[in-house]
This record gives sequence, C-alpha cells and structure tokens, in this order.
Amino acid sequence: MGLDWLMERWRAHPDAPALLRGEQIVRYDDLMAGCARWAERLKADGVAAGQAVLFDAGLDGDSVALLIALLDHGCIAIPLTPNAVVRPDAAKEIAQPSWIYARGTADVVAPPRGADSIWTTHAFPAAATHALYEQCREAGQGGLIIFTSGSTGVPKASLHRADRFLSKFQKPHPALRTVLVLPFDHMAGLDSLWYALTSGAGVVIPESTDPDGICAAITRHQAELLPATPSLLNIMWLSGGLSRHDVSSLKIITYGAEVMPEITLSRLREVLPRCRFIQKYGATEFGSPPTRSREDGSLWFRVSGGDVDIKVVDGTLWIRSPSSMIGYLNAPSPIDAEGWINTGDRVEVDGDFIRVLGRQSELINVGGQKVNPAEVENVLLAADNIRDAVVSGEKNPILGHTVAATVRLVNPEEPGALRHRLRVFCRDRLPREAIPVRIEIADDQTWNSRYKKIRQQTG
Amino acid sequence: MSNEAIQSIVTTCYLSILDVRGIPHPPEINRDTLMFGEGGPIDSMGIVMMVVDVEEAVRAKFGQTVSLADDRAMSQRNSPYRSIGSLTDYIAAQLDGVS
Repeated sequence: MGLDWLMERWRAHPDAPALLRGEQIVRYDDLMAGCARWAERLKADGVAAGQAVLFDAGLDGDSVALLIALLDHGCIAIPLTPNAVVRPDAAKEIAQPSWIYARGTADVVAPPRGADSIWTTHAFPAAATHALYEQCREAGQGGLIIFTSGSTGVPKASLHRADRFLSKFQKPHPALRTVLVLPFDHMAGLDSLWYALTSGAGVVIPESTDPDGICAAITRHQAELLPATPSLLNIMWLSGGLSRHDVSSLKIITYGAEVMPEITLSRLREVLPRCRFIQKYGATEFGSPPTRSREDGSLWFRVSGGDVDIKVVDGTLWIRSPSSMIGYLNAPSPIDAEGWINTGDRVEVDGDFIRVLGRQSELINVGGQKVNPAEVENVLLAADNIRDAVVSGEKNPILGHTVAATVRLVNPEEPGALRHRLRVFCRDRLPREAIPVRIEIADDQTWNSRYKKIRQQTG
Repeated sequence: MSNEAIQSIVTTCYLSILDVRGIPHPPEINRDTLMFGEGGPIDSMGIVMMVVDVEEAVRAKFGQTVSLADDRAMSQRNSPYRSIGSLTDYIAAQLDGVS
C-alpha cells in the first residue's frame, strides 16, 4: 500500500515538529526527506516488495523513516528494539527476514542526513518464506510483525497486513502532542506513534524514561497526550514528579495494557483535575479499537468503533475486528472461523459497557475460590507505606494455591509487623481467601520494561 | 533449642492469625489450646497462613528450615495443626531430626 495520503498530509505542515527529544527537533520535512533517502537505499540495495525486513528500531527519526519507507515499499517490516520481548537471534529464526538493517551507533535522533553509513545492510537471499507472508504478497500489501511475549514464555510473532493496520489512522483525528514512552515494537507504542504522526502532531520522546524525565519532557515540550500503563502512572504519582513539574499542558491521559487500580486513578485525578482519563483496550493481535469511557475517570468503557464487534462468553471478552492480525508465524492462530479472538480478559458487563477485571490466566485458585490479583493489589495499594504491590499465586499443598504479595515500601518496615498490619487491613476489605498468605518486600522494581506488572505464578 | 522457644513462636503466630480473622484472644493460651478442627477457632485458610508464618519465624530464630505443610504433615494420624502443643512437638521433632 502506498502511503501517498500520509505524505500529502505532511506536506501541509512541513515546518511542524514531528519528533521532539530534548533540544533535538525533527520536522515533518526532515522526516519526509528521511523517508525518501530510505526509499532510495532500499531500491539500491535491491529490497523487493513482499520481502521481510528486520531492523533496529528506536524512537528516532531514522527508525521512524525506515519503518514508513518499508511499508510504503510494500515490505514486511519487523521493528526490533533493544528491550524487545524476543532476542534478536530468536526473532531472526522465527521471522526469516530477507534483509536486516542494523544500526552502528544508537541514540541519533536526526534522520539520515547522509548518515546512512551508520546503518549496515545484511542480505539473506536464501531466507525461507513463511506461508503467512504469501497472504500479504497476494494482496499486494506490506506487513508488520510485532512480537508478543505470550503466556507460555515463547515469544509469538504476530503478522499484520499494513493496509488493515493503517486504515484507522487515515480518518482525520485531532492533533495532540504526544509523549511516547512505550517502544514502537510494541502495539501500544506503535499505535500512539501512528496516531500522532498521522494527525500531524509532534511526538515527544523523553530523554530519560524515569518518572522525572517523563514529567520534564512534558513540561519542556508542552505535551498534551500521555499514553501510559497504570504501573507507570502509579510510579509517576509516587515519585512526586506530577506535582513537582508543571504538567498542566496534559489534556488527556490514556491507559491500558493492565487493570487500572481505582485508588491509582482517583489519586491521579486529584493531582490532574483538568485532565481527561481514557481507558484504552488493545492487544498485539487486534490493535487498539476506539473506546469511550462511560464517564470521565470511570473504569467502564465501550468499544465504539463501527467495525469492531465484541461479545462476552462465560465472562470472557471476545473481539472481532477487521484490523486483526493475519496470524502468528510460530503458533496456531487464536482467531476462529468467524474471525473472533478470545482476549483471555475477564470482564463485567453493564449494557453496552464493559469493565476489565483481569486476565483469566492470572486468576488464583485458592481452595476452589477464584481470586483476582488486581483486586488484592488495589486494596494493598490503599494501605499506608505501600509504594507498589504485585500479587500472584503460590503453590500450596493444603489449598492448591495461595495468594502471595510482593510490595515495595515508601519507608522501611519490619517484615513481621508489615505482614500483620497488611493482613488486618485486608480483613474487612477482601474475602478471606484473598488475604495474602506470603507478603514479601521487594528491593527492585515490580514492573517490566513495558511498564507492566510482573506477575509470576509459581507452580 | 527448647520447646518453650518453639511454643512461644507458635503462640505468637497463632495470636496474629486470630487478629487477622477478627477473633478475640482467649484469656489463657497453653499447650492444650485447640487451634484447628473441632473446638478450634481457625479454618484451613488460617492454618495455611499460620504455617507460613511459623516456618519463617523458625528459620529466623533457629536458622533451620522446617516444612509444616507437606504431605507428611497432612498424612499424620493426629493432625499437627490441632493444638499449640501438637504443632510445637511436630516442629521440635523436625528440628531434632535435622540437627
């Protein structure tokens, strides 16, 4: 699919900033020039439409221009960041790229102004072709591969058809200067990046992704939209950064990828009273369909896109979307014959609206009673001196599993006293099987590089 | 190690579980105080919690690991969880076995 429509949009505002990182600013005309240079290089290297191309992806003009050039050229783009859920050799093995573009020097935000030499081309003419790639080629379309960690631990390669993935961005939408914290080999990061760039808004890339760095970038570049996870928002609140910096330019915060604890949301609304909070709902497999929250700040939302269908089967949400992936390269397709995907998320339903309770697979079975870890975390977070809490199941010979909590503290506390205090705190707020049996104090962080909680069920 | 020291750990953990369960403390606690089963106030959830606490306290105090919720504990003819005294004896036997 050609991206003429995108270039046409960009030509209307060549001077507007596309990427902003510290003092470095990449304007839309820089980005277009970068795309043109990459298009020439792809041709010169002999890259053909329909071929799979893996490349080092970063939040910088070079990588973004390469991604766009690849899609425009009809290639299957495989962006890979240093923090990817898959190791580069595994990604190569699974995706069998015909080409790899590797970057010599990282940390360059400018598009390739004759700096192409920092990128090296590696050709794999004998690369095996995957049957699913044929579906893109037959349709004459490029593709996009996003790796997802998957519940079994083996990363899965999700192949999307470029035209289907991009179609929703073709509709005009408001231009909001967006802070991008999530990497763009991740669906939420990719979605935010495209949403901003297709509207002509600037994308703010924090120089440092600690809470203060993010807040400072918001202030400096007057960012309006922050897509985040609840874990990230929680640490931003706890760090005091939201109060220390002037973040009043923020108009909208979108959150997703995990369940938002009510306590976190209400704390955020206190600090940012003029900001709208919108729940996003998405996955690597079907992208992020448009959602509408029931009322501002509510955890209830509905999927409001015309083309996306939802249904709830036994309390679990199923989604059917025209922008769903073609399939996994290395796993059976989770899409059934009618196009439905079981999201694995347990939801509550109220009329048109749904509320996500948590992952079906993360429920803890305590002597036959199902415990939702998010519900326990929500209670623990409301207790004194708790910075963060992660709850998971632990094998137990008497009850099958019990609830185990790992907490990070604001101030040091004696473990025995802490355990007693937290259990008593939970007593009137949770059913007895949900009260944590083991409570441990973590020294390190409880979230991963995607700012999602690390919940590890043992046994 | 003395049985009194072990019994003191068991008693402390037991009282903590009563708090978590919102059960008032009895006026007196001794070896014969029933914890679990007929006449005992705590349920299986409470026992599971208590066992984890006692294991940790024993490790902290004696530097040794005891396993109080394994198949062996479950298959005892007389449940070690029945009373303060039975759990104390069960722990003492395990500590003797390893020392």
